[in-house]
Amino acid sequence: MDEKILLERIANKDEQAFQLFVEKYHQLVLNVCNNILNNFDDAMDISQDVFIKIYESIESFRGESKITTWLYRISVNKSLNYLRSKKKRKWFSSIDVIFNGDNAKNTPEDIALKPGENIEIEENKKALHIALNKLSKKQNIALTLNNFEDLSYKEIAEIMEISVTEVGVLINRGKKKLKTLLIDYFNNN
Amino acid sequence: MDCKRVKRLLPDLDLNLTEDLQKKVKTHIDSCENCAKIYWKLKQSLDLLKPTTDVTEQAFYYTRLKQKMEHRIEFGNSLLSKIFSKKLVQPFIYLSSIILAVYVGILIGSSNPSFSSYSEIESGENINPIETFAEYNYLNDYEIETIENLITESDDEY
Repeated sequence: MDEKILLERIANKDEQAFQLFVEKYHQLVLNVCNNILNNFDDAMDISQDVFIKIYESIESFRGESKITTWLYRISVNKSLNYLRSKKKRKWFSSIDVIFNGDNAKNTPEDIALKPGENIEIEENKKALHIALNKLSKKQNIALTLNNFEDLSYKEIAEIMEISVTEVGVLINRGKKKLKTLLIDYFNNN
Repeated sequence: MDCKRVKRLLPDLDLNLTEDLQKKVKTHIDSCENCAKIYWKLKQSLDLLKPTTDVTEQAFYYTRLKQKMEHRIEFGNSLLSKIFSKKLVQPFIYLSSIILAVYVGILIGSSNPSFSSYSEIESGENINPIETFAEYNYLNDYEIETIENLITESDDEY
């Protein structure tokens, strides 16, 4: 089915069209959220919020950009909002830990190594995600979209609503900072 | 070349370093176990920065999404959600915090001496507020005397 017609049908609250749309794009959305959040359960939850948002505000899609660009943009924003609210919750849970002992939920930094998997790779993955989370929000998103999603600078520029040059600067500086953070991490662990 | 300098130069190793510096860093890495370990770990971590297909297609994704949407609609229509909605609760919290802050401020600011257990004024005593104010705020007794008194007193002295 043509995408334009599919979107028009979703705008008219056609559930079958929405199901087709979800089935087509859920893997993409889920993958972006998972790469940013580094937690599959959270990614599952946030990706569903992305589709709900799309269902509720499909009229705001003007068709100027590709549908995937719009999907990436909403996924990135939702994931970042979630990380922000998680930080706030973490502050409150740290108070909770003082009074109730250590029963707080795991953060990306606390991810335990999965048994049976290559311990070294898991440790490197953990270090990489800790370092990525320490980058600025923009650098993190640009690097994630460029490296994990294999998007071009032009596509990233459209998603982040910045210039291609800015994307290049973000990625170059982000990579350098990432290396420094990784060196610090391995130096201290 | 020492370890500290090598670690500082490592991020630029394959990018901006001169050939001579690159050679020096690599020679150090070959001879230093700790720096070599960090170098290889850095390389392995950066190799993980590649397109991932960790997430596979989810069989019941739409069913779960539909459940969530229905749950949201139910909750959205319930009275509880309206009460606890951000639009209502947030202004209420802000307003009550402001009122509380103003009230505490007034309480601290208007600490009446007669309320204090350390006050020398007994309750029920007829208090002239101006005198009390002067007593507590001015050490000099002359401050509470009228100008006329002061003039006549000074005239008597001469």
